[in-house]
Amino acid sequence: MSSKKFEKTLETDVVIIGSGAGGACAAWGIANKGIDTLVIEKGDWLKDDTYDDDELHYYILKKGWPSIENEYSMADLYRGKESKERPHRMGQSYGCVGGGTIYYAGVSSRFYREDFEKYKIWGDIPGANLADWPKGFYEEIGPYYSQAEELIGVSGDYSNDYARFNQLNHRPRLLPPLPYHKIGERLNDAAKELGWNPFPIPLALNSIYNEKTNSNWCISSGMCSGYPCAWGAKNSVDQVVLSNLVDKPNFSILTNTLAAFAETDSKGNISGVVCINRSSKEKFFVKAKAVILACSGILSPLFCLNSQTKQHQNGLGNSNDLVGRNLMFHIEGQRGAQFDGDFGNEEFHNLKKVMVTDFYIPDQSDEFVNHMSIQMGSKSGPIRYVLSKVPEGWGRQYLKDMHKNYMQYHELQAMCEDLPQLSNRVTAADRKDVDGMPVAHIHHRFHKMDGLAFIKTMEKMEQWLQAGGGKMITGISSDMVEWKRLIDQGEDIPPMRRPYGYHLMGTLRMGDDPDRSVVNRYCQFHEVPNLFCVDSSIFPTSAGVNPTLTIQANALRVADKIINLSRSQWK
Amino acid sequence: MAKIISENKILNNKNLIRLIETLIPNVNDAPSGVEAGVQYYLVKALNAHRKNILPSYEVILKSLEIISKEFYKNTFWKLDDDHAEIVVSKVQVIESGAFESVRNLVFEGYFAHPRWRDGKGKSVWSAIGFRPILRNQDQFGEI
Repeated sequence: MSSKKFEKTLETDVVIIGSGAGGACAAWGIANKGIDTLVIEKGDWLKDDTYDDDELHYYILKKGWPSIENEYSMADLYRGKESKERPHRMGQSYGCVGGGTIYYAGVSSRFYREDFEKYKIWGDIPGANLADWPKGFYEEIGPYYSQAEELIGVSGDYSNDYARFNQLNHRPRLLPPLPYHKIGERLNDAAKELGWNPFPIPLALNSIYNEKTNSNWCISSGMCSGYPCAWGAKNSVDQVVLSNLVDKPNFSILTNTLAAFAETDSKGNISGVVCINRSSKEKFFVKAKAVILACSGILSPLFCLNSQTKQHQNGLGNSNDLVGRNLMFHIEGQRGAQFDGDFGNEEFHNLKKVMVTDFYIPDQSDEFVNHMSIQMGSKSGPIRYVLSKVPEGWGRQYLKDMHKNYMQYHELQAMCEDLPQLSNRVTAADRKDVDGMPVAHIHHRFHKMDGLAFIKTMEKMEQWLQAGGGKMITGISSDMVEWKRLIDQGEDIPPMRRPYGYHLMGTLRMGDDPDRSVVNRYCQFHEVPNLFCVDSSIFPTSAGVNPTLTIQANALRVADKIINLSRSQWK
Repeated sequence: MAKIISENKILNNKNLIRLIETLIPNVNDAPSGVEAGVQYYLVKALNAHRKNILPSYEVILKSLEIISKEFYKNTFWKLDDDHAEIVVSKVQVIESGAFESVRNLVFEGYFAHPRWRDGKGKSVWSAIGFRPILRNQDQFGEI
């Protein structure tokens, strides 16, 4: 398809597709150097007067989120067929300015050195496709972690964690940690009694008034994960990054616009992007010197697969058939318990306070190589609490118990590494979405080690809750029996019996070897030199902590590389 | 667009009102399900995001009436509290899947933001200690 076919054509230096964690930070690094930058976002700015704690709207019905069936239409393939069950438990993508940072809980952990050297440490693991991040990546990303922490506004205190790991890679630039409150103190003490080393979860939440963004400090409403922050204390990138760019003459953002596919020139470089105005359905062309993908570990590879040109007949950068492969989610799960004691009115709905990484690296007795961490979880809203299987009931006594127990119930959350596998992948389906583009098919099976690691994490969570005095422990222990059986038999876990995982990673793998990766160490496509990716698609491994800060730090790093490129090649 | 189930059919269904009142009676000065306006939530939900529960809803209402007449020779909404609880317990056993869906729908409506219940039942949350932060706090005053 030629750009001449379109009545409307825009021209810019850099097009960034997606305005979430990676896209916004790349835009920050590039636009602040005076380069013309255009962000294309398929959703809109969220109106902050709509932010509140409507659990049904946001958390249960996910109304602020894109409709998976009608917009993204991710079809989860189970045993080779589209599952009729909702696939949202495995991966999520967001359609708004700020992307996932609007809805995430704000966890902003750094990866550990061991995360970048997975293959070097563990070697070949049957069935898995382990890889190292490019050599020296850990050292290279260090200063960008600090830069991202400062740009975003991350609260926390790594001293108890990093002293143990002895790997303070570039000094963290953190706001003071958020107060633990009583339940956090209880669980902090319990972890210490177990001989663990708890520390405050690094969070993109203001612990103090944020002068830079004129925003509130967090009051522990607990409505973080799944909600836009009604109080304005969450440092989502629309608030702290993009809103500071919009007045720049060389920066613009096109909302409600789908970047459908790319066109390439005779050399195979991208000449521009074909876009669709999602209201008018008008198609137009954006000519650019460079394109940066930042629309998630599912939609970034899908864009490549949907961009089949004469020079890239298998999709952009896909002559080695690696685009879309090695899809990783993380394996997440919660366990909760009832606690005795007066937590007082200050407690509200404790958000994520304390985390432990004491068994982050597997030991000799473990039959897996996955990394893992455990965090305190955001408190359930009343609907999620009452819809959970335990406790269930109705009537007078049930309500009396709920009045007494609701505020005494607290949860932990597991974050467990999902090992990369070549067969776990995103492909373009025949079916079309509402914009007329092929939807993503997702095929994903857990590796046996994923299940074993997750079971250990669930056991550790129970241990921690019990040490803190937790009773009536809830969670998915009955499913664990079933998982063990399926794992032993080499069977896949059916979609709705799986632990969930929202993070999307791995599908445009980064590496120095063009035969075994899609992008190079600067996240530049091996086969398309003016195409980059700054979301978590490029992650060779998924680590055992949340990915957002690493996405943001890496985007700032890649932005610097693109600046250098522009100086040498765009004159 | 025509409604799947009319407002009148829900709000004037005495057996439904009795069911809501049995599932969520008045306890500790907290509003009951009916006082909190769960029936108004059902009008919204069964015509939109929970329309898939409509068959379960109809199964449960039908079963309540059958069991009630079988055991107490009376229509469900006329039963006293104890008998109503017994009938609901029996329906829970006989129609377990449908009952769970309807039970969840009723509780979902009860604990939803008051805007889902036409602004009714503003003290539902405070009864369990839930104190959300609302951008438009004045809209509801003390919740």
